[in-house]
Amino acid sequence: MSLQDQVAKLFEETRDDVYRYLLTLGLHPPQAQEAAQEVFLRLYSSAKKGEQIRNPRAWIFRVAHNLGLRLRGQQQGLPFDADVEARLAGADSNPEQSLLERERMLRFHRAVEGLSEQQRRCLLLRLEGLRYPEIGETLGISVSAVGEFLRRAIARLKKGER
Amino acid sequence: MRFPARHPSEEQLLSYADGELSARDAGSARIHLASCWECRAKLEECERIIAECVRYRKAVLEDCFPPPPAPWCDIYERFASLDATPGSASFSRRVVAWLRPVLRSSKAWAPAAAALLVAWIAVDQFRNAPSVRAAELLRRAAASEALVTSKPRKIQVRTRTRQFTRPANVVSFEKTGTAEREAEEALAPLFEKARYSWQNPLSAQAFAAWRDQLGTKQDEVRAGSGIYQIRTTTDSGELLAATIKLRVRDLNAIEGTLEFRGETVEISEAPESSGIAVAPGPAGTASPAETGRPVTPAAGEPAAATPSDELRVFALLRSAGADLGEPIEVTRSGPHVLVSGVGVTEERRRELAAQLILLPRVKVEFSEAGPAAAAPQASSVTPQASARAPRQSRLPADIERQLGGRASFEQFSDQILDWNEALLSRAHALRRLAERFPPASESVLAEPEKQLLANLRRAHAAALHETALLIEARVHPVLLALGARPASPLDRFAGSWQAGAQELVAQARRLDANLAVMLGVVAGEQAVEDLPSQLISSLNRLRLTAESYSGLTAAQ
Repeated sequence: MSLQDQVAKLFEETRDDVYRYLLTLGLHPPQAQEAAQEVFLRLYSSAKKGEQIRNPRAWIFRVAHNLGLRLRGQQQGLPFDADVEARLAGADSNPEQSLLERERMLRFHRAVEGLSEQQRRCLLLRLEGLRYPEIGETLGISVSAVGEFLRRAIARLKKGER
Repeated sequence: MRFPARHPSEEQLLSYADGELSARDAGSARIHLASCWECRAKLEECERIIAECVRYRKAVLEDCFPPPPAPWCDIYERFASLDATPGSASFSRRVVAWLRPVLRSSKAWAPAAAALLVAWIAVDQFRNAPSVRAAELLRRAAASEALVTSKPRKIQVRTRTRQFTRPANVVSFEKTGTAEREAEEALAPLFEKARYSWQNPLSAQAFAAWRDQLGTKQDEVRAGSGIYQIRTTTDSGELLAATIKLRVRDLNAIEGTLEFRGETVEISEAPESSGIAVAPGPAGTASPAETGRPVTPAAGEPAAATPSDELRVFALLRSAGADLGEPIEVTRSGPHVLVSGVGVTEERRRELAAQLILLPRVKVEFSEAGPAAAAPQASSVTPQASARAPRQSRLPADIERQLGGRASFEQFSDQILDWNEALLSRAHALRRLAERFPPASESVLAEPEKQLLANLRRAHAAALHETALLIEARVHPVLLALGARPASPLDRFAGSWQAGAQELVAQARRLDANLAVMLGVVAGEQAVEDLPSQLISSLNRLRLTAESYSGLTAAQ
């Protein structure tokens, strides 16, 4: 498989996750799409220059995170807000979800929103499959700090459920 | 971190569950957990929250956030554009530049009636570092090798002790004579060790493949008497230096020298062999400038530029991606093929001129801004979203409802407009080829050149067809849901490719106009009720024409 094919395969597998992650950073959809594409072009470029990339998924999210934050900084106006509350409450949301379930998700969502920025970042990156050292590298914090942030995040979410 | 006999902390439990503990600590944890119900319950509680997070990802991040684009961009095309811009000054700017074709800024070079400010470009052919230059030349030569199906040719291989002739490109080595076979067999391992293709050694592709895998290398590029010479030296591997000579006019590899450790192999076109440039056309039809023109330009009376000369310019513009909506004109005037452009950016001008100047008989004339004559052919009637006129048709609002909101509509609309733009530029590129190569001009081309022309239009036709399919797939369900009548069957297009190109442009324009009304970019003139059906039928017609056109051009 050529390098292009390899990166294209990763693009196909990972792009939607990267796109959503960029939305959680506050990028608006068109910007998130552009940025997601650029991440994979950088991956291609770096791999072509001979950079050794051991875990592409972690590499992709690290670059997406940094690029996303930079773009977010340049972006004018409010950060993107998916208005999850309205969607979860709205009639157009998934009809298969029972009312009870939706309410539970709403509570959970509020708990997630209530986390500190670092706790939330750690949680979302862990949710995308990154390991602690990879999260630490992405956020520029130590591995033990990642563990501590995650523990606090889980504890807060547990509390928020009730 | 060691686990004491007492209970591990919550952080340690989470780390254990996440597989982040060292093997020893994880072992202690496992032993502790096996014996302690309290900690096991805690761990289970932790796992439950994790499961909830996973559910949250699905129910909120996936279902409540705007859906990802469908389809995404063609990443291979982006790779190609990245590869085509060596030594990029600003990575992201180049990517963005590629994304937003010049068409988008059509206003910048519309009939601005500015004074004609001709800026002659002093092109320094070797402005770039030799390595960039070498890579670029090789890339283009390799691309042209891949694009043009050349006649089989023979090469002469000379070592210090032997000399033999063989076909230039050999898939299996069984058909050569025994003595030659022996000589070949002796050389094959040498090439293999050096990672240089022995199958097709006299080719830019082989040279480029070898050069690309070198760790350290030095390049040297020279030009003279119709020939480009690239010499690359390295201090690693079996092959220490290689030189390749490319004919300027078609970038065909005509000679190579490979300096292995302890052996030097020279390869050249065998005398009776004929590459593309000297391939005789059908009897009596090849232009005099084409058949057997010497590599060194002959001094004397300048012959008029031929369709072949012009075709090379088109092939180059295609490989540079400069034939899609950029304000560049190609005409034949006397002994030259004149390439002119108005309002092309400085950077782009240099880039194109540096490549065009490699072709014989080409004169490049770019100017700052110009009269109406240079207005774009491919200007779409759909202006930028920001310039949208107030809506009069009800259709945009219906579609917005159908798609479930403003955001989805914007996304839908942007996507359609992008495709529409791409489709128009392909149709215009095809028509330009049709206009510059009417049947009379086409018939004087040599056979390989006819092939090249066919390859050019095949590339456009395939892209156009693909884009039409994309638009149809996206628009169809929406319009049918709004009560549009399905399209009625149509006759396939039959005729020359030149006539087909005209037809495609006419149909693309009709579609463009309809789409503009549909998306609320311009106010609708037609009865709104009828528009969805009209759109479906214009899309259907265009797609069918594109389909038969692709078939038409592939069959040739």
